Amino acid sequence: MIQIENLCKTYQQVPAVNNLNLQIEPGSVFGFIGPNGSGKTTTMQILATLLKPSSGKAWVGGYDVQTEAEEVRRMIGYMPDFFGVYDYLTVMEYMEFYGACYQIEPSQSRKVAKELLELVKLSEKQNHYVDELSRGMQQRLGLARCLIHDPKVLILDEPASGLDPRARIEFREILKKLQQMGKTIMISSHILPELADLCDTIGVIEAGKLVTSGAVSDMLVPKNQARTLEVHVLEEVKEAEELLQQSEYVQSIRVEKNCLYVKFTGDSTKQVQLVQQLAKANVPVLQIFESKLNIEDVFMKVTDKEGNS
Amino acid sequence: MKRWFTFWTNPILMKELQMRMRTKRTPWIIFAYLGIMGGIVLSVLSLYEDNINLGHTDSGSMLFLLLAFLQLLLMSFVLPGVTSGLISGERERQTLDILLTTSLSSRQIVFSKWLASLSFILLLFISSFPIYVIVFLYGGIPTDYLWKVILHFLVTIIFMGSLGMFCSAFFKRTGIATVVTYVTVAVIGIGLLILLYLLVLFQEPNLHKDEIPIWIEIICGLHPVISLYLGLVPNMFDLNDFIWKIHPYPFYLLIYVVFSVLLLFGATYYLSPVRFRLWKTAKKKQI
Repeated sequence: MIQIENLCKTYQQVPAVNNLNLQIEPGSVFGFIGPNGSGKTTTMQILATLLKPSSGKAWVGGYDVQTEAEEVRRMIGYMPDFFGVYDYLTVMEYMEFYGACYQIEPSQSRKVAKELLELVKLSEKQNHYVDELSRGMQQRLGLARCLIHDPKVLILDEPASGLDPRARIEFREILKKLQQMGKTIMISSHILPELADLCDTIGVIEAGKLVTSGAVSDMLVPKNQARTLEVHVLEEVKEAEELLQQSEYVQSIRVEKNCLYVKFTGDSTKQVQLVQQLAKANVPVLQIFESKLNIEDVFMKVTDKEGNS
Repeated sequence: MKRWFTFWTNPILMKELQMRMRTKRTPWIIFAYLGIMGGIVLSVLSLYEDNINLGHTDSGSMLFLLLAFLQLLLMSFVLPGVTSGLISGERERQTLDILLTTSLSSRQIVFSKWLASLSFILLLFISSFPIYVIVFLYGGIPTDYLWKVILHFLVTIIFMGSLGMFCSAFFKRTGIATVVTYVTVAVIGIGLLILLYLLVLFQEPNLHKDEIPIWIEIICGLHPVISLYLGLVPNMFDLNDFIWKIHPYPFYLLIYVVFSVLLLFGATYYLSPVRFRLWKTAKKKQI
């Protein structure tokens, strides 16, 4: 649905986006992660036809963002990181205004607006002025506004920024509904655990370059790499460590109090054998589990590696 | 017919009118505008009560001219303030990016906003008609005076509106856009007068009685008050014996319409996110 090829954008010879290549499949939710100034917003603005790339190409739904901007605009719903609302317009008028901007018939626009306000739980506020709504409500209204012309692609730049935890959870639930409706969503956020919960795929961008991208599940459990097992014992830590070191599938062990962090290369069967060995040696094992990376670990690991190189 | 209907139901035009009429500022602007105009006209009438008589044609013409110049002056104050924040205001309010990602083109956005601001100024102009009625009581105002004034006002409104729109699109901040618009209007209104005075002063010995130098004609044609005055009263400064190569009144109308078109084009250019995309080349890519 979205394809980016060798995309570059420079501001006075400073690269904001540097040779970016990316593909987002239809119906997927793509999380765009990166520190401030990494080029997320620039990329999103190029896709939203608001910026001209210095070089490279980008397509949304098969339309070139530079030469077929009108068609691209019909396909996307764009929500910038910061956006304002008009004074002296009610919620319904606000929705109808954007409906008219997309040349939707007034009766149709009103009908769709009502449904969308229902979706974002703002039906009761339809006669309130938009500037009187809370920040969370305005964000939800912004999302409803994005959907007024039934776009296939949503480009959401930090949609949850500045929201309180409750508003963030409500916002995430709405996004999940949209995901179920088959929308392709490209979302950037600083609240990484939320992205892991919501996204199918993520891309990490730093200094304008895409450092890594792929399915969230693959990112959190890297293939062909040693897993980390956490072995918690009540006592006899030393004995447990010696026993574990005898296994050919154990790469390294780090001990912290009564917990042993074991780098293990074996499969599930070998893991069961390891547990049996410990039990046979009467080591009082409290629990064994595989410690998974979270998205923040992935982000730190990837960006650290990039920074060091 | 449908295109005509779509044009008048343009969402930005409708929204701007709706929002403008809901602000508390609007009735105050109308009140102040009419208050100042009416106040000055009534003050003049009461001050020169003895010299101005009903049915005396010169009195009527003089009052009409006074009213026309007063209107020009007031519009010079109101218009830049109304128009110079139209685009930059959207930018500052952070609503411009959203607007630019809708199906509306930059041209439509600029034109609708320009039209909305002109509608408000026209409202001010029309609401001042009762004051003109007072002046008409004194008689002596030919119909062509009225049409000439209306045409001149329209062109002035169009130009000042376009100037405000251009500055608003060119400068990121409303404050700067407003200042630059006011300064430009001041240069046209006062600067040109000073320039004309200085040029006449230094060039006086070289001036021939029956020939007006082209630069005087151009400056007269660029100045709103002089061009209007010469359009209504051609024998100003005893210049009726001179042959004008360019008559200031039609020159004014023509040149400011051209300027307006250029400024609106410039505003559209600076508003467009991707500038000067005049033709399409790429074909749809299969993804």
